[in-house]
Amino acid sequence: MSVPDYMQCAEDHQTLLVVVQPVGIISEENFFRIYKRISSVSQISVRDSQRVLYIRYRHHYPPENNEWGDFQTHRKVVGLITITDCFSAKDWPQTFEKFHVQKEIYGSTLYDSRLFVFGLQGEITEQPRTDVAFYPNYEDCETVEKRIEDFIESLFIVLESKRLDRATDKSGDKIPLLCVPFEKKDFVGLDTDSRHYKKRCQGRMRKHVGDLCLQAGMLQDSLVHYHMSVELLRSVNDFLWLGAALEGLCSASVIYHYPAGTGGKTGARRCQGSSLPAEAANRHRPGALTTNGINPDTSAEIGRAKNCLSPEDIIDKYKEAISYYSKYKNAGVIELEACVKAVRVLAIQKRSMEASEFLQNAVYINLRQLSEEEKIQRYSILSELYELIGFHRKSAFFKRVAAMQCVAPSISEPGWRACYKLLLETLPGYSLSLDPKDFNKGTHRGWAAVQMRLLHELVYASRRMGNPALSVRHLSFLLQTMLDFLSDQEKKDVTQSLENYTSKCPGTMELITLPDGLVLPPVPFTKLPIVRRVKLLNLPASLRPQKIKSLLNQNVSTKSPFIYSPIIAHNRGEERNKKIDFQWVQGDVCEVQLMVYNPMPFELRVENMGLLTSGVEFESLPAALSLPAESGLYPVTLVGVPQTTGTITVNGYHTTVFGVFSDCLLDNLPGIKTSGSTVEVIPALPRLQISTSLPRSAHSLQPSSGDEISTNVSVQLYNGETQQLVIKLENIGMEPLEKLEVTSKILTTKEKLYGDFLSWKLEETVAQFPLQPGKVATFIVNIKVKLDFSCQENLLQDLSDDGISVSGFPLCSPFRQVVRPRAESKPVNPPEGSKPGDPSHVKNKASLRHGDVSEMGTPACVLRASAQPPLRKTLHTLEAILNFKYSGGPGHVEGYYRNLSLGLHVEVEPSVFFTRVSTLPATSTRQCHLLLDVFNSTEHELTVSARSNEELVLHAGECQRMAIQVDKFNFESFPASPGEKGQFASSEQLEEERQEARGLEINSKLDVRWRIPSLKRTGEASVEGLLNQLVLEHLQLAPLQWDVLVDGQPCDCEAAACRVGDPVRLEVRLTNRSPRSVGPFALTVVPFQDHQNGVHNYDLHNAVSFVGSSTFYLDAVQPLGQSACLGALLFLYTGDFFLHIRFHEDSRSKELPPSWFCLPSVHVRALEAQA
Amino acid sequence: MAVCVAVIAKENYPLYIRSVPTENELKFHYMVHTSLDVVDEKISAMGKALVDQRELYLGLLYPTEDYKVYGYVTNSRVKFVMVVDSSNTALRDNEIRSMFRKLHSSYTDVMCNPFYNPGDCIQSRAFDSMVTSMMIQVC
Repeated sequence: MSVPDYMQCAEDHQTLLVVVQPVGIISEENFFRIYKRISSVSQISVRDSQRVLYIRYRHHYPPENNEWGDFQTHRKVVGLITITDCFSAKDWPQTFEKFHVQKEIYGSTLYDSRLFVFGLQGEITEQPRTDVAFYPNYEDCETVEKRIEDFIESLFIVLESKRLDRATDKSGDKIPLLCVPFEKKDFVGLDTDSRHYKKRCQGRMRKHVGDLCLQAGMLQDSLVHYHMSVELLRSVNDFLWLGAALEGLCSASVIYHYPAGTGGKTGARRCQGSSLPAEAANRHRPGALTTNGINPDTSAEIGRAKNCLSPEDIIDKYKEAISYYSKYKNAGVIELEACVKAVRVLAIQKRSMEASEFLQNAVYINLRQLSEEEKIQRYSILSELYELIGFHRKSAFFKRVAAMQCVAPSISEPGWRACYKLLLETLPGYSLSLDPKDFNKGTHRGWAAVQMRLLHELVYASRRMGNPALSVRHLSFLLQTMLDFLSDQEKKDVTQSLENYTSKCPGTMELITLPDGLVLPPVPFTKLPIVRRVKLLNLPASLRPQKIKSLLNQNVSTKSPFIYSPIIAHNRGEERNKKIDFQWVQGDVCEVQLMVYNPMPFELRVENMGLLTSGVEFESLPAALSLPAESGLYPVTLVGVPQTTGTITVNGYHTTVFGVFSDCLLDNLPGIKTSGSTVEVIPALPRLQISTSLPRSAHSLQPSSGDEISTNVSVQLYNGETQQLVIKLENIGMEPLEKLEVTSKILTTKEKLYGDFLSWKLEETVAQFPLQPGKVATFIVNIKVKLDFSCQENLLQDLSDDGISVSGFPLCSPFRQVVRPRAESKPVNPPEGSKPGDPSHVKNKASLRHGDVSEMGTPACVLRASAQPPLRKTLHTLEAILNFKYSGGPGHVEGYYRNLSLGLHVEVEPSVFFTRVSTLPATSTRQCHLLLDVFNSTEHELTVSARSNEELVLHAGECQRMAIQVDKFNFESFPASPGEKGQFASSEQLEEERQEARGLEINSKLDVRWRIPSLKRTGEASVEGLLNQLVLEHLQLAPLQWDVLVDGQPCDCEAAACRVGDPVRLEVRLTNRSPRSVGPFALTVVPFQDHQNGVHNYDLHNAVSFVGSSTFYLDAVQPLGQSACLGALLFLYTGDFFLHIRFHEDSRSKELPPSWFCLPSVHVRALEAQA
Repeated sequence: MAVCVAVIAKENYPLYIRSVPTENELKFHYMVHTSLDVVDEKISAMGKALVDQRELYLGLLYPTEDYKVYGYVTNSRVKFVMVVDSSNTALRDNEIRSMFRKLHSSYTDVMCNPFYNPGDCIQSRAFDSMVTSMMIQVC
């Protein structure tokens, strides 16, 4: 007895063992087809009784186990069914012979035997034999079941006879001693007559009868016999048989208590046995109703209740039996099987702890040297039993041991497939699922060391199985899920082997389905590298699409009549969470930034990293990156081009690491920060590239302006210079450029700028549109810098303190008021000059000493560069942004445009300064001289011209005065647009505005230009901004316009000619342009002669006589009205006479400014009367 | 005394496991892991008892050829498992009990640390040295 049957259970004690075997050559398929049919007949109700016979079929049974048949009768082979193929009558005798040989093997114990012959036809089949059945083929054998039933009945008859024979054999004087094979030699020469021996014989026989009763379906009887046997054997210390008797008692009790069976779950064999569970249950329940009514044998009920063990007792008795068995080394198999049976019972009783003790015991039962196969079987069954009692971990442990046993080095042909299968079955025991999704929830919690070992074994087994895809999958799983637990060395080893595997079989994202139906989900490497943040990037500012704002505000598309409703606001907020408020453009490269880091202790090479998107056709441009060992957060930008329009969602990214492709979805990534992953893709727009004639600028403009500038150019200009900026517009996109708008924005500067800084003509450029892809258009912008030409205060001071005062009023004082606030903000002011207005004497001297030359009293004053050092710092910069709004293609249809900004940085160097301005009255009242002190602040020789006639050469740092004769202006006639008037609320502003307009007018008249011949640069110089009120007044025509007409000819500066003796008509005409009426006035005409030596001779009564009065009267003149008074003069001598027209003191209105009463002086030349 | 000490969370994953012959750590991992079956079984059997009467000490979980495995469960279902050499006969039940009690109080100290996240692996130095002291006495 050496081969344990691990499938045994307690109720097997009541079965009859029938061996079904093939003889001769018969295909396995056919044999098992018949075997299956035979074994379906496992339960037979015996005729005329309520007893049920259970049959256990085996197709293989070791004959040495049969030798233990006396010890426990269910181990005895009582029936033999042989199945054979026989196609010709010729073979028949041979076949039949074989059947007999087969019978011999189990001959000693067989009750009966059968031979099923398939294929044979003819007369042989006609012979009526009970032990042989003939069937033409394997299909045509309906009577097999019937045959078996008959066979079993015949078995029953033998069994019953044996039982009766043994049971009633009490009187017989000689009871044979039953013994197990290894005992036989022990009893040689024993005194067979001793009481002890007899008792032993009796006890063993009782036990045997008990077994037979149990098999014959007489449970109650068997219990009685077992009890008696136990008593007998206990008294003689026959431990082995005592154990067997106790076990028999237990089995009978188990059958009674658990009619559904104890091994039902594990043994497939039992399934057939439990096909009639309800009936079986009824049959064994005491007092239960049977099909025949109440069980009539009431005495049996009483006995059963008494003899039957309680569930607790069953275990105790099992324990006892096992302890007796354990005394015998040769009974190891019996002990082991008893343990297994007890465990099955305990499993039903749900007493796991005790069951585990039995199992623990079973583990230690040392059988003879087991073959590897038996070891595997043993471990598997232990695992199964542990599973049965709910010890999943222990079960997994043994299953793993079994798996390892499959591939033990001693085995010549390791069963890697079986090993792998068993290993897979251990997974639940180690609470390991092969789905990486289960590991995404936070940190992994489990028995990492144990799980890692198991995974390693899975990898190894699958590799040896010859399935590299599997091993790659397992290895990826190991790396992905156990990364935190791997040591640095292990990480290296694992990745090394992974790379080796993937070189043959790259890892994929496909499900791997094992033959037994287990599905291995793909393992994306979300931790190699670890992604911490995903951010969709907006397009660069120059490519960002912008929506043309339509008049109808599209945002207010809500159906609600309310302006604000919290519900709508809430909805919007939700939407915002998902969608990002910028757009991507079809056909343009879009970027997503990932913050990644490498957890590995070595450089990680990630290849083919790209984006996974949905919603829009997206061409992902994969990147390869190499992350340094244990890097910190590392930005990675993944790019792609949307090919269609719509809403795109970035779902994740894909990588290839160590040869394993991974699709990592963002939803499955733990601890990832994302600011939305959905963005709208709008139709394609053209792309514009700008190149300019100017050099690029290193310094960018202040970013505070909000615009992002793509290109910066810079230029250096002298104040007043104009330069052309040629901009080349190239369409580098795929769509035609259809529309272009250019706007400029001058960044706020403290400088006052005169004239248009930037000007352009768009029409010429637009004429080239639509601009096809790859085509270039040019666009010209004129840059004109005209800053204040007034000079700095400190320079001014030096000049003014020289005391040059031209027309009697301090010219510079109003000028200073303008300049002062600006000067104060600049720290260039020397401390001594903090009070520039002070005409302090010390200061004066100092400046005189400082200035080399100061020629006073001359109209042209040359000042050397006394103030040049501070001037050098007064370099001004002007900054402006040119915005190109352009659109085209399908994006234009959708109402999108792009904005490209060009930053313009202009450094303005001072060219000339007007240090001082003043006026001198000209000979004509309608004209005056404007005196400008021009200072050359450049380092080059410079020429200045005004009204393109006079050219003044100025050396570097030289200051000269130039006089320009100008006509007086009639400012009042300037039209002021009514719209402007309304805008400027305060009169101050209005006045300022007016003054500016005047400045502009004057400047255009003056047309002051400078030229630097050495640099070949020219520019304008503007006097706007230096003209103060006083100067302006001088330049202005008075509102009261006086005209003096001599002989009807207007006389202003030139002398009017007349003849001596002829009366000369003198008319004084007043035109009132002021808004009120003036007058009346009284005028007196005083003639005088100028001797050109400062002496005026007024005593001309002899030379000039008035015709009429010398006093004229003018009536009040209404606004825009005109009035004239007439008189006449008579010159008596030839000569040059001047007429001074004077106002009478009292008639002159005090409130009117004196400059209004500026009458031209009349010069009359009296000539000889013509002879 | 002890050759392996393990602290196992309520959800049956190890919070702390340390064994003396470090070269064969995995063996102890397996041993402690399988012992959890018994612990679970004992706890479920104990479940019916009143909480305050509950005995925290679970006793011998199972003996192996070379080692004995003892268990202890706190009221919060945190398990302590200790493996001792079965050749060490001097070790009585009472000593094992007191060792578990020491372990428990040290574990409580770990829990009192405000910087400790319940459920994380125990990395306390004090706990470690206490376990070491329980192990060192073997040699």
